[in-house]
Amino acid sequence: MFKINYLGLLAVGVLLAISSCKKASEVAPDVDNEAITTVRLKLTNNANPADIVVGVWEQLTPTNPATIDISGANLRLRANAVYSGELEILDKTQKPTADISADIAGDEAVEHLLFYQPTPVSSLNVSNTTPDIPNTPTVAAGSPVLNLRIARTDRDKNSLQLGLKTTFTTGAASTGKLKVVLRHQPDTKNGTYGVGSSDFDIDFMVTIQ
Amino acid sequence: MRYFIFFILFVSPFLSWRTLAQKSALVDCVFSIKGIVMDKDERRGIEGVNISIEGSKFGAVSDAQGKFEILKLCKGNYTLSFSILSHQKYTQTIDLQENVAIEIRLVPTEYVLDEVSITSEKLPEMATQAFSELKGTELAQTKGLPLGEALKNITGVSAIQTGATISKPVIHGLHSNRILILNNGVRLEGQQWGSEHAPEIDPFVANNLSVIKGAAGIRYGADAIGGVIMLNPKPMPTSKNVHAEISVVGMTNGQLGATSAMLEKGFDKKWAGLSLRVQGTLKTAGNFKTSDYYLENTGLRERNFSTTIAYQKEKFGLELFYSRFYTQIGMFTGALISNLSDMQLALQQAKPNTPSYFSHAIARPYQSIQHQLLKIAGHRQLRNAGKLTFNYALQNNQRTENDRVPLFRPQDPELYLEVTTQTAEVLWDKPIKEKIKSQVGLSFITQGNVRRFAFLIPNFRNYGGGVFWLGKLVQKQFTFEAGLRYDYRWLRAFLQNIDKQIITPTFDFHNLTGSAGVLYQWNKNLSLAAHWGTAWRPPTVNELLSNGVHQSAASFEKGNQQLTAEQAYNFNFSTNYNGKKWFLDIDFYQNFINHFIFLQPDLQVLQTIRGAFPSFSYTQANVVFRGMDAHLKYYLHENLTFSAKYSLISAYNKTIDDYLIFTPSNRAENGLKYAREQLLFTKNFYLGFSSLYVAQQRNVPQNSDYTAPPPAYHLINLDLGFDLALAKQTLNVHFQINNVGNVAYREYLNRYRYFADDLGRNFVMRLLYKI
Repeated sequence: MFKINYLGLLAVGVLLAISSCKKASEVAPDVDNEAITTVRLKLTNNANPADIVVGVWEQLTPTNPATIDISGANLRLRANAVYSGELEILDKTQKPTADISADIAGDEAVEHLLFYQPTPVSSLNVSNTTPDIPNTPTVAAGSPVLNLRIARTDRDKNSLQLGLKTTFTTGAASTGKLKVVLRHQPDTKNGTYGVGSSDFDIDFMVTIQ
Repeated sequence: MRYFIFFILFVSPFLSWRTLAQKSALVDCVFSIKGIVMDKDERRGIEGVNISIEGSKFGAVSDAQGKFEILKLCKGNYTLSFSILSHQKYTQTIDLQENVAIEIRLVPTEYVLDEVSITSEKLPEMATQAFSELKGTELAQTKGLPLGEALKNITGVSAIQTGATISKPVIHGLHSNRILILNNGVRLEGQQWGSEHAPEIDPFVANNLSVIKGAAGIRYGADAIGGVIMLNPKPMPTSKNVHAEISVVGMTNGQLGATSAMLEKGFDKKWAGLSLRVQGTLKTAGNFKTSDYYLENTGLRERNFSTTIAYQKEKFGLELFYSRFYTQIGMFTGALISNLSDMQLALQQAKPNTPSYFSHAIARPYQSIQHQLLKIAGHRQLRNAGKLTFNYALQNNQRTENDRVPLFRPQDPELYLEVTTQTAEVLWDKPIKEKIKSQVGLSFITQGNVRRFAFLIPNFRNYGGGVFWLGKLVQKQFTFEAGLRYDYRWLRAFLQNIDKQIITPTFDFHNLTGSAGVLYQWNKNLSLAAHWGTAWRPPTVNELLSNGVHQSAASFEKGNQQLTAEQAYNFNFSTNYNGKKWFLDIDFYQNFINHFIFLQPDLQVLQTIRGAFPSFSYTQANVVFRGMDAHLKYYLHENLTFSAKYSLISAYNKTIDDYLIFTPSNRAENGLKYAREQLLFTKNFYLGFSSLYVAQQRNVPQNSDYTAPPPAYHLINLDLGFDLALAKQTLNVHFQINNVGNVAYREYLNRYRYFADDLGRNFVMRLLYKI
């Protein structure tokens, strides 16, 4: 009697084993709720609207470094010129491709702030204002630096800067890198870099000639 | 501790005979039995115990010190019975040939059935292994804390924390998949590989928390490399009266409130043997505070429920247990980092730049976990063939991790993992002779994991089986133990490769493990034990197949499909002395682990669109953990006890000649406790002071961490407890002040140490009322 009961219970267990499990073999697709795959920086020469420079930084699978494509992440700018900058942020994992910059320009503006930092900077800050981004590498005074100054020209509804739209002012011929960082600062945005965390953090190669 | 209990129950009544060596006159009826009745745990005399000699009018009642005396007895055989409501009845047979003095230790009623079940269930297990438990007052003082924090009261046990609310126990430096947690006899299976994944357990269920320190792979199977934690609920009631317990905890820090209630009932007559219990816990907390700022979004919610139906007869028993654990835990916004430069920035700040305010609200990011357990267990006493026990459990663990509010699908979590586990175990206990016991067991496990949203670990299915034998021989003062086990594990993962095709890497592992131990009971106070044990652990799916950014650790982690199983060889030597003035429990251990799996820094930085991350790869090495745990008590005075707990540990990677990262620091806790059985209108009054010193961890590997380990710290805690008579029942009251000096400190094993200080001062009040 006893043994039969136990066998019965074991049978119930086996039944549960068969019925209770979702299929491990059916793999759900990877979904990233906030994947940024592509950052596109478009610079238009104010003196010559036909002079357009575009840099593209792309990583189609945000978790896989093998999908990084920085072949287009180069900016060739004219010396002593002024450019109007526009930044486009895309998520190509969405179908159709999602325009994240449109969201950031809208409701999300109060939570985001873009930083543009030429690197390296001189320890005397001849190229740009004081680095906004902490830990920016500096070089000794007199060493060549990237002669580029960037100013944000758009603001959120709290009148704090945003940075999707910018003005790039170049100086004498030079080369270096431009670090572009999108800071996500929900409830804490105050114009500084320190609060919040980074949604993207990338470098463009810059040549001013 | 185990030898201690063993000693109390089995040895003490025989050894504690003290003959007064008074050669009596030849007159027959001039002998006396003198003695003292003590509490098993508290080492205090029990007043009012009724001592009677069965079948006679002789008897006595113990005085305030627990002493008694029965005079004018004749030579002969007597059966003495000791009874008092608060303690288990005890009988002792005495062959009276001369004056006799005896010492009797009674077991409190509350624990009676527990002790009985421990002895009957655990005898074939490793009595020679280092073992500690937390129960009674000590356990009551931890109510409201997460399991990992409560267990820190046991020497050799520390915790890996993610703030105040996520705490994972660490035994002798090992944690996560290297220790087993048995919840009411069932191995807890969730996503225990993650260091911010705390055990899904309601400690209010436990009447007793016990820890086996060291490899215990024979009885419990794969993964028990570091040890085993057991949560044992109260034994089921036998009385037909409804019994209730209400426990309330309040803490000022985080404004934490917790309530746990339990109702139980036994039956008699036609339904004798049947018993029921329901239990539930509610817990809530808001932002916790360090010594001078609040930690934003660190609140907690917990809702737990469990019920048991048991049917217990002389020859067999059946038990049905169901529990549901649900928690929602806010993740500190100041610890949100996206990449290496965020981490560097956080490290440069003296304090987090998130706003400091109190709120009970929990916003994203948070994690929520639901864990359900259904257990069916039974046992049957076989005629002349021992006892058969079986245990089947179905567990379902759903974990969602919500990051910041995303741009798309703001209702969706970033991560969802659901693992369903079934375990079954059949045990056959057979006493071969009176002094030889043997246990044979079979165990099975199967698991299925389903994931959604972001990829962290793949879907997988695994099967495992094991067969073991444990034997025990008691020979005078010696106890010998030995065991042997064979295990097999199979694992298949299902995931997409870079071309979106489903691949199914498959792994299998098998292993033979053994153990042996000896316990020597030197005299009634002193016992020595040595134990050699082995255990193994197959690599987990995250170690084999993870490939991506571990966001909260700001690291890029690469799995390794070539990993082999870990194999541990553990040697323990322990001594236990329990005398009139001293109590001493010292345990030395050495745990060699071959093919130990760990994340090794690749010393390179991987650039992704989210920024740069240092990359780490899962790799294997031969390592050794060495250490000592000591627990001592000195009874300075009838009412005053000095106690000390010391834990020393060192972990070394022999393959690359370097230390291992995240090894607990050495620590020392010294305390004084003043206790009075009666003070004014209170009972069981005590006042405790303790000082905890945690040293800085200096033995760390090169280039493996973002910053140096935090400096040593020193905390003072105060305790005050007593019982009040309230409406014929007893109300237990406990006040506590943690971190009395409001010291700002950071703990090496707390993952928030990169970002913020640990908790500041905390006032705690605990009430327990039993009806």
